[in-house]
Order: sequence, then structure tokens, then C-alpha cells
Amino acid sequence: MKVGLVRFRRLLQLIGLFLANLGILGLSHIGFVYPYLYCYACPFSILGCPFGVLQNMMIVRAVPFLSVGGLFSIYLFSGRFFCGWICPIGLLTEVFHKTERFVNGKLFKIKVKIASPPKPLTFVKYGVLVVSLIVAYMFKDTYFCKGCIAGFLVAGIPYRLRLHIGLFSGLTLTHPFTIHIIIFIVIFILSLSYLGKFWCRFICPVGAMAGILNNVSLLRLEYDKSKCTGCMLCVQACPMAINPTELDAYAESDCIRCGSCVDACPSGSLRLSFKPSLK
Amino acid sequence: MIMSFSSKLLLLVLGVNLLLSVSQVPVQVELSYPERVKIGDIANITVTVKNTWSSEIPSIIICDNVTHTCRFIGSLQPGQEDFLTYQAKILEPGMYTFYFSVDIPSLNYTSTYYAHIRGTMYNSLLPVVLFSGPLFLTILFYKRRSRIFFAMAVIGMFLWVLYGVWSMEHSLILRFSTEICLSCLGLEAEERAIKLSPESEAKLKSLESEVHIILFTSEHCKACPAAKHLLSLVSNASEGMVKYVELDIATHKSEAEEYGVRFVPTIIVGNVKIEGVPSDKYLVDVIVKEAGGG
Repeated sequence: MKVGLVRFRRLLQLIGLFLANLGILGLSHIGFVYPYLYCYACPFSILGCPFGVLQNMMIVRAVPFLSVGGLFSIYLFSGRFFCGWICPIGLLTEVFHKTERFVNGKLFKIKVKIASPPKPLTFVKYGVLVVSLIVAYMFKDTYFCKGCIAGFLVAGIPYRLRLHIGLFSGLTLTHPFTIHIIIFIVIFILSLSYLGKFWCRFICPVGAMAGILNNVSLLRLEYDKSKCTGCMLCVQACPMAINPTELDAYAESDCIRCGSCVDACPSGSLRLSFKPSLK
Repeated sequence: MIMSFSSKLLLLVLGVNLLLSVSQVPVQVELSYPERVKIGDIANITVTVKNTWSSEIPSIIICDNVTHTCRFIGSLQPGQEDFLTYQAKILEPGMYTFYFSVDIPSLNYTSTYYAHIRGTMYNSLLPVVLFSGPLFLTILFYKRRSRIFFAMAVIGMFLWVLYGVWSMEHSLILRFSTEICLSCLGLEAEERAIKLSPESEAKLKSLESEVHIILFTSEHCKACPAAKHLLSLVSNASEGMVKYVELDIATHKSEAEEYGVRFVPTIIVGNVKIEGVPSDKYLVDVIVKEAGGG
């Protein structure tokens, strides 16, 4: 059995989780943003949440030169590489995906089937990106954070435990933490179907920002048509439910460069390459 | 044009009155200040007062909302001028209005002058226009994957980063990620849910020494009223043994830095720092420990 990219990916994701929480070693905050979604209110975070900082920039009416410039100059080279290889929320969604096999296969012995959502639905994340920023500009509050699962997991739960409130005490239906929990459960259930990485595909605004530059990024998935046998194993393996053999403009913007299809391909017609194939 | 004698007389009287009224302004006051100041910088405001009165002015009082005090300018001979300088630190974006009231007690003269200073991230919008070009070109030629446009986008983004560092944007990002409004994340306690349990009230009534508490808040924080409400309940229940002060992190920056405040609201009880709105039981336990220890 060949050693797949997935092994390296898990290792890098765990390192990414550690790097995101370097505050555990006593490091203080640095004035830059994570290139992936991670909450700045986490007790161990060392950088700012990219989307939280952008919303705050909108609130104080400042042009985010450093944050957008920094993020885009990374994404121009990597595309959505961080979504697949480093992002802790990406790791979490893959854990969701693993539970799906257990729940549907072993626990209930049935297969929950939901029809594949239409492709244009993946554009919802661009809507989330734009609408959240406009709402932040108009109403001067970070409304996206009130439903963000990263905020719930790495800031909400530690916050309530640290304040000795008790995780679920004093919650009413309209309590903000209850809304966090409800959104988390909804996303978890949606991930249990074969929608897979629901958060990354349809909601994540940081993934959307990286997705804008996916089409021009240097790191990309290369497909050799002459070797392809047409077995479609890559399509089954893809966590983002795109067809790696037919990468058009919007399928391309969803590719997270995770290499699942590269592992699955028996004929070796797919590979991740960093060679600039520009005209 | 033929004018009657009475109208000529009226004009003469009006003109003389106008001249008199102009010459009645005893001082000429000029404010010099920058219109745009980058956040974190200090705006220098100079108030120049010139004596335009026919005789000596013994004293001029200038009150301001920069230092919140009144200052005296000594006697000014006719034609002589003197100036005061003020320094105002611009911490937030937006329009700042500073006023200076000039008061001459011996002449019963009072007048107010305003300085309008805009706190901005950038001194002009020209760089925005200049540097947006590469980004828009990249998006425009999205499908062409041209080497030239890729290089332009990289250079453009690099310039954005340089300009962001030069305009101290990293300090703004640091502020956003260290002074976090918990209610903005959806992590607030509801005000009406806050009440003291009978055990907590009994513990507070048996306090023997005074406890001083600092509460750090900010303007847009929605959980801060809940924290304040909890502290006022505690203060009332302890019959004045627990005293608290409320400090805004925007105006009391040095104190906030001293205590390492990262979230609003933050409650400081002795050496214990409580971030957010705690449960009443935990807060009272901390207070009892503090009162017993010191």
C-alpha cells in the first residue's frame, strides 16, 4: 500500500492546531491574522481571526490593507491549500465526515441519503462574505461571530467553563450561547449526510476569500487526460464533491488541494503541482 | 441716487455702530490644528491670542476639553500676542471636536472656538485608489491566468502589506484581537437572569473588610451592563463594604494595559482577573477570599 498524502495531511493538520494555539506556551498576540478560520477570543490564540478583523475594520471604517494584502499574497501562491492541510475547522469537518460512516454504517445500518445540492449553492459562501461585511459596516456589530462554529468551539465553551457558569446552566432559548449550540448541531447533522464538509463548502467566508484566488494560484491540481481510465474514483473520494477531471471556474474555486483524489486515482493521472502553468 | 437726510443719518449711525462692534472684539483668536490625524498619533492644537483692544488686557482665561482645565495668559499689551499648545491623542477613528472658551473677566467677554480633527487610518485616500488597481485587474482577468497579471497581483498585494505596516495597521489588528467585546461574539449573560442567591447575600453581609473592585467596560459592549448590574447588586447586598469603579478601556488605556485586559467586561478583584460576566457564586467566593486575605 502506498503512503498517501492523507498521512502527511493529518500530521500537518495537527501541527496547524498546535500552531494556532501557541498561546499555551505563553506567547502573546501578534498583530496579524490567521490565514484560516480560527477565533481570536480563544484563550490560547496568538493571531487574529481574519474574518473577525475584517468585520471590525468595517466597523471602524478602515481599509484592511495589511490583512487583505497579507492574506491574498499567501492565497495567490497557495489557493485553498490551508483549508485542506492546516485549518483546525477543516480537521473538525473531516472528523464529522468520519462519524458519518460510523453513524450511517454501524449504528443504524441505514444510509441517510440527501440529494446532491445544486452547484450554484456553493456560491452561498461568497454571499456570506459580502453580506456579513456590509452588515458589520451598517450595524456596527460582528454578526457573523454570533453563529460561527469556530467561535463556539474554541471561545464559547472555554469562556463558559472558565467563568464557572457551567456549560449549560442559565440558558434560555434566546440566549446567544444557545444560538451557537443550535447552529453547531444543525451543521453537525448536515455534515452527517454525504454533504460532508458542509461548513467549508457552503458557509466559510475565509474559504471564499481563498477561493477567489484559487483559479490563479500557483499550487494546483493537474490532470493528465491521456492516463485517465475514467473510473470516477476521484469524484467519490472528493470531500468537496467536485469532479477533479472537469475543473471549470467554479469547481476550481472549491478545490481545497487536499489530495484525496490524488490518493484515490489508480492510474496516476492526477497530481498536486507547484509549477506555474501560466500563459 | 438721491438719499434723504434721515436715511444718510441712519446709515451713518449703522456704520459707526458696526465699526464700534468690530472694534469691541478685544482679542483675535486663531486655532491651528491638523484636520486629519492618524490613529495613535498626537494632534497638536495651538491657540494664538492677539490683543486687538486699544489698551492692555490684564488676564485671559482659556478653558478646554483636552486637559479639562482652565489656563491663564498673562497681561497682553495692545498688538501683542501669546499662544498655548495642547496635545490630544487620537485613539479611535472618527471626528473629534475640541473646544476652547476664551474668557476676559475684566471686559465681560466670552467666546468659544472649535477644532475639528478627523482620526483616520490613512492620511489620504490616494493610496487606496493606486493600490486597488492590481487587485481589480486580477479579478478582471480571472480566467486568463496570465503571467503578467499574476506578477502584478503579487506586487500589488505586497505593496498593500507594506502600506498596511507603514500605516500601523498591525497595531489596530492587535487591538481587535486583544480587546474583545464578548457580546460581539454572542457570549453575553442576560441582565434579567442575574440575581444573587440567598447564600451569596449572607456571605456578603458577613464581610469584615472593604473590597475594591475595578470593572473595565467599553462603549459598544452589550454584556457590560449585565456585569455592572451584578456588581451593583453585590455592592448593595454587602452594605457598602464592596466598592467598585467602572473604567472605559478607550479612555483609561494605561490602566487597561497595566491589568492586561483582553476582554470586555473584565472584573478585577485584588489579584484575580475575571473576564466576562461570572456566576454570582464564583464572584462572591472571590470577594470573600479577597476580604479574608487582606
